[in-house]
Amino acid sequence: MRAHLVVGGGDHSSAVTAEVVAALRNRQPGARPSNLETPVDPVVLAIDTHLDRVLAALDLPAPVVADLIATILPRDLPQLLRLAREIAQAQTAGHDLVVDVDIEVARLLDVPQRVARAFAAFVPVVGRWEVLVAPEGIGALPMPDPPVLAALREGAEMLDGLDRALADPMVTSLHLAAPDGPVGAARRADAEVLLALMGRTLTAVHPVSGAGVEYLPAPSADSGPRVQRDDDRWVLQIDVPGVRAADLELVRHDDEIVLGCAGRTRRVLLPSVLRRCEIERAGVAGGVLTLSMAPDPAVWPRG
Amino acid sequence: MVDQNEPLGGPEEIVVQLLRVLSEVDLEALGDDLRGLDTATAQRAMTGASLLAEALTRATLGSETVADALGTEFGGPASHVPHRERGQRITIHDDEVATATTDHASEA
Repeated sequence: MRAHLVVGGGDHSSAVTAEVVAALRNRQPGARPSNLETPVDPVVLAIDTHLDRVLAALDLPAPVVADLIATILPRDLPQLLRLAREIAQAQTAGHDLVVDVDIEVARLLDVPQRVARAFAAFVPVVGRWEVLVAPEGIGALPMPDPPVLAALREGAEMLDGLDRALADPMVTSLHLAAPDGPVGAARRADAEVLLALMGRTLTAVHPVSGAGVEYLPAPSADSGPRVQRDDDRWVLQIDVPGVRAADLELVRHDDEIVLGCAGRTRRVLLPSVLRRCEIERAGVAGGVLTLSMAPDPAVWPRG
Repeated sequence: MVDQNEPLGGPEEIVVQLLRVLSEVDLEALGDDLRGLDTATAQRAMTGASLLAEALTRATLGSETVADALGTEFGGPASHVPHRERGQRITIHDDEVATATTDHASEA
């Protein structure tokens, strides 16, 4: 099963979607299109309702409450959650899925990881609301209803799954159908940088004219971070296709590393075996970032 | 009424003015007010109070006479100023160059 996502927001995206569906139906009659139109997602509804109650308890004017909620909950969250559900359902059913994604491509690739992290971070806060936010006798912030905690957990899990699917070229193929001119060029650049940080590339670029579809090199089957043992050291390899050393930034935050390129960033959680290791050296060659890591004597238990 | 055009004095003078203002605050009523606030607002008030306390401390000790007596300096940033760049920045080497150099050497 694979989800074929048509992105880029060009006027020809529906034609490209139809072409992809037709091509797939020749091989797999189960392929079906989807347009992400959806009633309100239960995750969004639960969080939205609670935010409304909390902000109303602060006696803020209604327009301010509306602005704050719009700021806290990304506008495309319902569509992202719908896409996550569609991909999960298609994986379970084992059929191909074709989606004309009407979300700005940079947000499609960037928002799921960020919001999944934010939701996951709020789980312990909501779980211990009476201790951390509104101790008894202090303040008037309403206690969240139980569905809020479940919604945060579900939202984090679904968006994390969507992010993994988008990063895995074996699960999703990405067809760029962007408009001509500078806007299309900017969308392609955004997509290529974000995908490079995810370790993959676009599957195909479809020009407005419909002719001359550009298929990009197919990714290797073993994409994703790889860990190898090298004597007393560990070697972590992360694909960053097309990115040179001079264009890449690397910052370590505890158990995570943050890759940066052309103003875009992506967090990579270190495999558990490397979390107590120091990065001794980092280098890029052939679109692969290689980190040489050694156990940190300060935190590694001695036998 | 305070003359808006009156130039502000040195740190000592500012401290005296701040203390004068504080002496007029009804602390008991302020305490009651704070207890009536929700957690977030109370925390903001606490932050404001600690910033004020720090400002007073810095202004008081900023007096050259006092600073000299205590052997302190106030030129550097406060210890609580967050680092702009959190995390450990790692240098990335261009191994493409190293590989190319090795290849050329082996060809020679």
